[in-house]
Amino acid sequence: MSETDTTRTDVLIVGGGFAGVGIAVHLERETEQNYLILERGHTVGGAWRDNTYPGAECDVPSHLYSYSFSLNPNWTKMHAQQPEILEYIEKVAEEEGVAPNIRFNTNVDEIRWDEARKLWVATSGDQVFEAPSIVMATGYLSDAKFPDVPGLDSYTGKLFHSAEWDHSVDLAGKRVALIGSGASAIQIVPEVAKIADKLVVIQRSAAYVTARHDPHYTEAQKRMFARRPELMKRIREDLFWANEERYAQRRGTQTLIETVTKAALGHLANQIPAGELREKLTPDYTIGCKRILKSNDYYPAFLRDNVELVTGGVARVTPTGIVGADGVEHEVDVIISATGFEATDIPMAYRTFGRDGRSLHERWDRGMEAYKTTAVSGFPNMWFLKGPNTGLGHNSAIYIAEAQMDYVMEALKRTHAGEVLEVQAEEQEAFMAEVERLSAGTVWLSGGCSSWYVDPRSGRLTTLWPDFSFTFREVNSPFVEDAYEIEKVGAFA
Amino acid sequence: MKLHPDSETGTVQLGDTQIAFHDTGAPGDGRTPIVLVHGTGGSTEAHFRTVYPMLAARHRVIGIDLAVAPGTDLDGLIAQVVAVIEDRSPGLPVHLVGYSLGSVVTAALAGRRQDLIETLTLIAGWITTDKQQRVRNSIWKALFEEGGRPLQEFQTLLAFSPQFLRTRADQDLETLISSRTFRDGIEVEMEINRTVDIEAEVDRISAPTLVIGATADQMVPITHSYMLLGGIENARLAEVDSGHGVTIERPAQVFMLIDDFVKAPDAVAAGDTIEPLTV
Repeated sequence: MSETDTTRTDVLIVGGGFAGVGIAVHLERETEQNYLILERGHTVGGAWRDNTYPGAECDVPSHLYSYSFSLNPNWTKMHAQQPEILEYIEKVAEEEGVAPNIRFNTNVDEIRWDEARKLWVATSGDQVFEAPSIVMATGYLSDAKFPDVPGLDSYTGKLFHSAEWDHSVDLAGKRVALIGSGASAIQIVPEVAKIADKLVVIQRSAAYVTARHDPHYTEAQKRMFARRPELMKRIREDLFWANEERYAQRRGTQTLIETVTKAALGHLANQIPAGELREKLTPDYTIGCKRILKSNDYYPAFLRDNVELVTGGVARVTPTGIVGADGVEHEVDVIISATGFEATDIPMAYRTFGRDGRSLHERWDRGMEAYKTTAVSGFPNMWFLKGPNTGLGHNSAIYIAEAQMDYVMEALKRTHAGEVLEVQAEEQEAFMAEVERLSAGTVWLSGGCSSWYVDPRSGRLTTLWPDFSFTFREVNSPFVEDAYEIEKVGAFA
Repeated sequence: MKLHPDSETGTVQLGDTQIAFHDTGAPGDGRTPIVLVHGTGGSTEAHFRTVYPMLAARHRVIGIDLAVAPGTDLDGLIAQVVAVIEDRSPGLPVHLVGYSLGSVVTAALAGRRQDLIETLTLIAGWITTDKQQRVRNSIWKALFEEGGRPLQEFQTLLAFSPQFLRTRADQDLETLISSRTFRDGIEVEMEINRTVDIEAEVDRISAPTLVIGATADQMVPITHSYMLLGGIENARLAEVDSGHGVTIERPAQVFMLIDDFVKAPDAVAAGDTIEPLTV
């Protein structure tokens, strides 16, 4: 490896999704610092680049699911589809001058702290990148997870994950099996049902599904928003507070749980006649324990002659088909795995090494955690965006990322001035105890379901923020130096 | 009706009147309670259904269900709230929260009995009934005598913001209208509403006060909250983008404002308007 392969910058950003591009916009607007985004894909957008399955769209209304600093008057409908969201983030990256600072197709192999030089060193193939600060914006819904079922390797038909959709496979007239009943599955099922010869949906546990209110915006409305941008802001606030109200449903208050359960089961009853099918589609856990989904065309898909619902999960896969819990084999040409992501055990943690060469994976032996959701002891000047305890069951992920950006920008100004900041282990411990206190009594730990919100190693809630979104900002936005060991090494040239 | 897993329902006797309450704590437990007083035609459940459990996750909360009978007047309502506070929180001043007519009751109480109040929150309140309010009150009276659908629609129209009604699903809007009932005593409260004038009491309020006004309120237009901001020495204002039914339209925001305020009443200086949250 020669010296000429090494690129030095002020801030390295790993990942060019909403979080990575967002912090880059802050750096562009507010500082003179140089930065590089290392992005494994061919464009920005993260999950919104990868999830190209038919029917992919956002669950959170687009006027809320967008940057507060870059409102978009041109959303075509309330819940924009994936291509439109991708186009939006690409446009932001372009217009804000971020795009030239992104290294695409750059998959980071390893990240390592160099104690002697007080630098983070990231390698990708034969390229080396160095910076005093590093922002981890890799997300936790970015690495596809396949189900652990016997025989999957032996399958001879086409097999792919919903987040790695194989567009070369024409599903028209094919026999298709889809594994899963979560957020991706409910969007895929109605689309595949329209074209496949046969669709077998294999469900492990039924989801709560509510009606999707999804009007299109007229040209007049779009121009109204462009001419009076404050109207977008008002809609945004309205949507935000309506979602905050939903949070109260997750806190074990019976009257509120009953209201939302009634709405979801009423939606099911409106769409599926009483009988075996409706029973199979009725969830067996407390509402909110897993994500509450929104769809108007998921349930009706099961009334089609070419769609079959199999409950109890996958028993095994054969070379030519798939077998459900009932032992019946379904011969299929294609298996689609809509089974989610490596949310609690993120692959990058195995390849990231802090002080004393200790890996992040080792540091996180009880599950992932970070002080104020952003800093990890033993990993100085490393800042997490959309890492531990940043998921929401009820509101916009971008709001959360923006709240963290305020914290990280303050930290980056200090590290640029020559400080090495490492959060104290006991501060991190105290913070996690507070998160645990907030988690107690929430539906996620006591709702009787298994979900990606909880780390299977410790039973702790590691991916979700267990409170209102506005408290996330109150707690996790203000940077307080008292929690840190601060070493002054002099300003970086 | 259990508003929160910890809430217990009971009654306090005041002369011939029984006043119901919902309390998540007990007298002498050392926790300063937040006391909620509902508005016209309401109850703790009707007006604080969502705010109550949100607050109860962090505080002791007492919701009062006012008893209204023919002849009940403002002084009578104030006496009921005093009776519950003295019974449920003896010797420990409370965080008193009033909504709509409840804010008239609590503001007048705070002016007369400063010893009972730690802080005061006035949601969609007013000092003196004005001409715009009296016109509405007269129409309401005429419709109330007829009853039926027009009354339900009129109340729904004026209780919520245009934005809120516009964004309801058809079925939800219909439920909002057709499920609207008018409990006994509402005409007595509407008569009280016609002639409110608590200027003298408001002038004597000394407790740290939070005034919450709703920008699209057609029943108690936000001007009245501006008047309370001017009329109470130690008051700060929060504006919420909502109709009069602000505890139904924006319960989480109302919760945040009350929770922040009771935790640190002076965090926002007297006279200031609270900056809206960055969204």
